[in-house]
Amino acid sequence: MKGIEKLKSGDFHVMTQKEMPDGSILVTLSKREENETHEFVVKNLYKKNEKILSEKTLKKEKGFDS
Amino acid sequence: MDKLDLLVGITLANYFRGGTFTPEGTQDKIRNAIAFGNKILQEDVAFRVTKDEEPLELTEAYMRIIAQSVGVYLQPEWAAKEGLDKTFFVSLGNKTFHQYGHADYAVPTGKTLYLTAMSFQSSASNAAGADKNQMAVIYLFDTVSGNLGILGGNGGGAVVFEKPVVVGGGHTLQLYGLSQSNHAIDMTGCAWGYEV
Repeated sequence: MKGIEKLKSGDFHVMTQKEMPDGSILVTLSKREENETHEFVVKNLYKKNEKILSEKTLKKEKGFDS
Repeated sequence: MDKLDLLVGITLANYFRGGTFTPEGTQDKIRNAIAFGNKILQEDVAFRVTKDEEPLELTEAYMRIIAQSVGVYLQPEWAAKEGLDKTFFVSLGNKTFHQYGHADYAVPTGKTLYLTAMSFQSSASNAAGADKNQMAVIYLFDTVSGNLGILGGNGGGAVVFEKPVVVGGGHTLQLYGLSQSNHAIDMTGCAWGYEV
């Protein structure tokens, strides 16, 4: 499932939205049981002209003693 | 009413808020809502329902828990245990007096978001402002219902809500950060709760 789909279906535990200098939003979504974090940059979130500018999935790093 | 009865009542109130149900489904939900170490006997879960018309409407429910090892949770704790909790952050940088930004989350249709707390921190964006007052305000806003909560101060703060703040399905939660400082500040706002 793509990040924007996870956001709109509520499939996450933690969401962070960071405002970027160009007015776009960096959205980060994570879920405890998943070993990855979804990150995407979106412009006009929830609006008709919503546009995903970039997207990537980050694998979570394990702790020092894992 | 003893403490255990009260906790069960809270769980029921959140499940059957204005809704209808079938007794079989209700018992399943109650079982799911309570983590039990040993057992809850089926026959100890009793219901009284009105039967004037279909579907049935819950009027009272009684539960007698006889197991010796039973965990009963308030709904926020239960939601976290079941993985239904949610935390929202908004991160804003370089905001001068009265500049603001926000994070948005549209609650999916059919679900309800309950927020139980909010917090914020604010600090200078540049070293020159580091020893000044870092005034900021954080708002919780529902695009349908309006303002839900507000918290402001110098450098940060937090509040735990006495009762959850509710955002209905199809509504959009907005978490605003507003600078009240006369220099550039960075702000992080946070709100958390659960969604069922």
